[in-house]
Order: sequence, then structure tokens, then C-alpha cells
Amino acid sequence: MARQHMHPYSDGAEVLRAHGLHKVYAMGDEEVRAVDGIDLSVKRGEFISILGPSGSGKSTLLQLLGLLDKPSAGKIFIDGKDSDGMGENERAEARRRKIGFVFQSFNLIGTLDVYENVAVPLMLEEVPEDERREKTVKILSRMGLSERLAHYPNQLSGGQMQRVAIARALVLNPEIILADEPTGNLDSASGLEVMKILRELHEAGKTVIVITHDTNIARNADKIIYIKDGKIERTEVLA
Amino acid sequence: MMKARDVFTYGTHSLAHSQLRTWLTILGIVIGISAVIVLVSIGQGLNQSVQEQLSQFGTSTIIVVPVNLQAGSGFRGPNGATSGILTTNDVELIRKIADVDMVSPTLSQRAVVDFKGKNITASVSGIEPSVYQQVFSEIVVGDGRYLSDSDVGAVVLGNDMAATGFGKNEVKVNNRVDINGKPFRVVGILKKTGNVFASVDSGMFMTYTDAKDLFSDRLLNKEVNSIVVKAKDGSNVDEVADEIKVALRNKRGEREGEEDFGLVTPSFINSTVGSITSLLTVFLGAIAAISLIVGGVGIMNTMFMAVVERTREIGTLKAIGAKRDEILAIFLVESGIIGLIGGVIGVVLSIAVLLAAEQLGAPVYISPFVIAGAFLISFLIGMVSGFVPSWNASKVSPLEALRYE
Ligand SMILES: Nc1ncnc2c1ncn2[C@@H]1O[C@H](COP(=O)(O)OP(=O)(O)O)[C@@H](O)[C@H]1O
Ligand SMILES: [Mg+2]
Repeated sequence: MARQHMHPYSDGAEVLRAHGLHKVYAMGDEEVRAVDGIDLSVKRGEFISILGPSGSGKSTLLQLLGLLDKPSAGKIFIDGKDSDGMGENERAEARRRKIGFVFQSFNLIGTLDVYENVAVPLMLEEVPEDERREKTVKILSRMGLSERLAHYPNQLSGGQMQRVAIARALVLNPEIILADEPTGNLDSASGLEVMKILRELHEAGKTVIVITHDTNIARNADKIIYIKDGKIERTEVLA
Repeated sequence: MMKARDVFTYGTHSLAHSQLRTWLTILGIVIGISAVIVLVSIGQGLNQSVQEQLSQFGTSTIIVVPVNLQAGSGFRGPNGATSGILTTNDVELIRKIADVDMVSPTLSQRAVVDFKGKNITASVSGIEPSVYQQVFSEIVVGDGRYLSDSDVGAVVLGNDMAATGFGKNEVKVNNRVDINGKPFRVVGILKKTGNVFASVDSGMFMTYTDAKDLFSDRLLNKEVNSIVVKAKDGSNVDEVADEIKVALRNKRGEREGEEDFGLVTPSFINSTVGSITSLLTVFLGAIAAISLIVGGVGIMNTMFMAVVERTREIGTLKAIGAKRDEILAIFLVESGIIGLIGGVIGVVLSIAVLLAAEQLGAPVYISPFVIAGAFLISFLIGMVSGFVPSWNASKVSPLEALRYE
């Protein structure tokens, strides 16, 4: 299996870097050190799994990397740019253009149909109507959802909903896909399908980071990062 | 920033899936907007019909009355009175003023009138027929003839007085009526004027001479109840009125502002009645506006609840890259649309109500300005009411997308 390091898009450039990352939550008098000193470098085209027990700080780490939250200490560089220097609008734009977020519970918007859900990022990006239609239809057909454009989320299965969510994350063609337990709410068949899609994205050159606590799923990646108590316990590079 | 059209589309999608609560909120705005439009339109209709009726009062007519019209309730003249007596001497004095074309004394008294055994109390006016008809254009004969200056024992009846004044028995030309016990012949019946101010329709008219005889026991020697003046064509009516005022004041030895008489002029009527009806419109509008404000509070409440319920949706939008401004715009517009839907329904409803009211004879004036204003105001009320909730929405953290996972 030579694909991991040999595919054409991997130029070895660093797309994400965390440096001395800390996130401390105050819980009454107590402090929870959810992320407690993490250094991490993610290269373009890498496929990384983050594995660790519940409460170990995986989600917190991904939220920091995805610019959803700010660290208590430490730095995050996205495409070499220090996120400390980015204002609220710039962070929003980076989330829109550079990062595609996939949630455990899909987070589709219930009042919009499948087509409209996927078109939301294009709408935010002011993409013209024609191009919007073309891109939305294309990504949905790639997700095998061409027959479901006018369906509402509550008319879909869990697997279908997650594929819509992935389509939404991909529609602006971001460099990085961040997925927090994307298979956590799915049956095993749908879970496998979602993992297959993530692997295909990786093969097409995307940088993919997936949180999971399922070792079998983690094994799809190039690299597994084991997290415990907010720290990287060890990193396993898969051959 | 998102395109305005997309912001609208997003808002309409949310509303299309909205709950009963939203529709009740819209109902609040419907009621408020309808109330404003209906009341303002009726106020304006009233204003317009008043203006129309007042325009029948000739532009060169002045009526002198024995009451100071400017005096407030607390004011008393040198003799302790704001009302006095007008006499035929005053008539002659006015006749000498250069720009006065015609002048005529008028008597108006209430009298007991008997027709075919039915007694009523009615207002009877003694006029100089030739002058009166030239001054008041609404005096038009429907049946029979008008009074002539030399008539004796003749009356002309207003339309309502003839038709319904004596119950079942309609008065016809050549019938006899007894006024304070004296017989009079009805020579004519006037056309209906519809003018509620001049009370021509419910009046009775006879010559000044006849009235003077009839009411001699009630009037002082030479007393008249009012004096009708017509200014010469091309003269300035207000200036003529001032001249009359000065002449009467000098004769009485009164100081300015302490007159015991008053002048009704076209500009006096316009300003007085105009200001009353505008005030009425504003007052009606203000009452209605309160219900609109209540409607706005309803929108605010609904939007606060919507923002709380949709925290996760807002967090998701933020997580996939929406900016604060965009969230603010989405919720402001959504709230504006709630107002606008209420406005549209309210406009349709109030036009229906107003058309029905018009059928029933209410004076109604539907101004396109009011309708356009209603649309704008309803949208603005929505936006203003939704501002604080929308501001809250814009502050929601993208982390809300992941909470409770
Ligand atoms: N918003 C928060 N406030 C307080 N504590 C939090 C918050 N989010 C997470 N934590 C705590 O931080 C720790 C790490 O949580 P999380 O990153 O969700 O772990 P994981 O995703 O690995 O299960 C946990 O102890 C959790 O209770
Ligand atoms: Mg987690």
C-alpha cells in the first residue's frame, strides 16, 4: 500500500500546525485541562486519525484546529498563517474556504432541503446562481444523492444525512476536512460508506483528520495520533 | 456579505416551516396595521368630506356672529362678556365699507312648527332671499320655487325637514305649516346638500321681514342674530374682515382681542376645522399605533424564542463560515418579513373593511401614501423589534454546533 505518501498532491507543505496548544475550561472551582500541551504538524494530503478514550480532549483539539474556538495558550498556523492575527471575520472566512467540518450529528438545517443545505456555503461565498447549481448538483451526485435533492433532512437516513453534510463540507473545495466521529451516529454499513468517502477524498488530495474511538476506522488513515488526558500519547505511522 | 436575495430566501424558508407562534405574531401585526390604516383612512375621509362641505361656504363670504370666537373659556371682556348683540345699525355700518359687495341681516330662532297636527321644534331662519342665495351656493331649489324678497307668509324647507321632519307626513309644495301659531305656505323645497355644518337640510327659511314679525317678542329692537357679508370679487376677504372688525370694535369702544362679536371667514374655518380634523387623524393614528407597538413586542418575543431554539442552527452556520453580519442580516430580515407579511395581510384586510365602511356611508379616503407607508412601517417594525434578538443570534459561538454531541 504505497498510496499514503505517494499520491500526486502531497507536496509535503504544512497546512496545519499546532504549537504548545492548551485549552483550559473552568468548571466551578476546578480547571479542566481539555488540551494540555499539544504540538502537531499536518502536511498537505495527509490522512490522520485521532484516537483516544472519551473525555481525552479529541473534540476540543479539533475545534481549535478548525478555528471554532480559541486556545487558552499556544498557537495554530493555518497555511503558515498565525490564527492569533486573524479577526473574527477572517476566521469565519477561513472556516468557509479552507476547512470543511463534518459533525457527528450531521447538523443539517431542517428548514432547508438537501440541495439548499449543500448550497449554504456557496450562498455565503456569493457564488453566482448558475455556478452554484452546477457545483451543488455535481457534489451531490458524487455522494450518490442525485435522487434526493428536494428531500428534507428528516426524510433521510443517517447515512444519507452524513453524506449531505460531507457534500456541504466539500462544496467550496476546502483543503482540509475535519470530522468529529462522523460515524458515531451511524450503523456499521453507513459508517463504512462514510469512511470510504473520506478515504476517496484523501486519495483525491484532501487533508483529512478524523476523530474516532473505533480502532478499525482509525486504521484507514496514514497516521494514528493517540490522545490521553489532553496530551499526545504516541503517534503511529501506518505503513 | 451574502446577497440580499439569499438572505430573503433563507428567511422565507425558515418562516415556511414556522410554528403557530409565528402566525399568531403575524396576527398581532395584522391587527395593528389594519387599525392604523382603517382609523387613519377614516380620519382622512372625514377631513376630506369636511373640506368639501366647507368649500361650499363661498370664498368671499364673511359671517358676523355675536360671540367672540377666539376667546378662551377664561376670558372676559371689559363688560365681563364675550358675547354681545348685533343690530341693524351694525349692518348699515358694514354696508359703508368699500370692499363689501352685499350685506344682509339674518335671524335664526327655534320655533314650534305644526304640520297636519304634528308639532315639532325646528330652526327657522329669516334671510334676505336674493343676497342669501348669492352667498350660499348650496341653496338649490328642488321643488317649487325659491323665496323672493317681497314674499309674505312663505317658507322654503330643507330637504330632510320636508321629507322626514314631521314623521310619516311628507311636506309638499303649497302645503300649509303653522309656525308659532301663524300660518305659512310652503313655496319650495330645497335639494339635499348633505352638508352637516350648514344645517340647510333640516332648516326652514322665510324672509327677514316675516321672521322679524314672528320673533318680535324675543328680540330687542333692531337685534339681528348674525350678519352675512359678501366681499367684492377680487378683494382680499381677510382684509375686508379686518376692516369690519375694526369698524365694529370702534363703534363699541372695545380693545383688540376683547370683542363681544366674532367673524367667521373662509380662512378661519379652514384653520379651525382643518386643525381639528388633522388632530383627530393624528389621535386615531396614535391609538392605532399603540396596537402596532404591541405587535412589535410580539415579534420581539417570537424572535427571542426563535434565536434560543435555533442556537444550534446558528452555531452550524458559524462553523461552516457565516460571519456575524450575515447572521445578523438573516435574523433581521426574517423578523422584517414577519412584519411585512403582517403588513400585507393587514393592508388587504383594511382595504376590505374600508370598502365595506364606504358602502355603509362612512367617509373614507384610502391614500396610496398610507398603503405604501404601511408596507414600509410593517417591515421596519419587524426589523426594529427583531434587532436585539438578531444581535443575540449574531453572538452565538460556532461551538454551539457541537454542543450536546
Ligand atoms: N465547554 C466545556 N466546558 C467545560 N468543560 C468542557 C467543555 N468542553 C469539553 N469539556 C471537558 O473537556 C474534556 C475534553 O472533552 P472533549 O474534547 O469533548 O473530549 P472527547 O472529544 O475526547 O471525548 C472533558 O473532560 C470535557 O468534560
Ligand atoms: Mg468528542
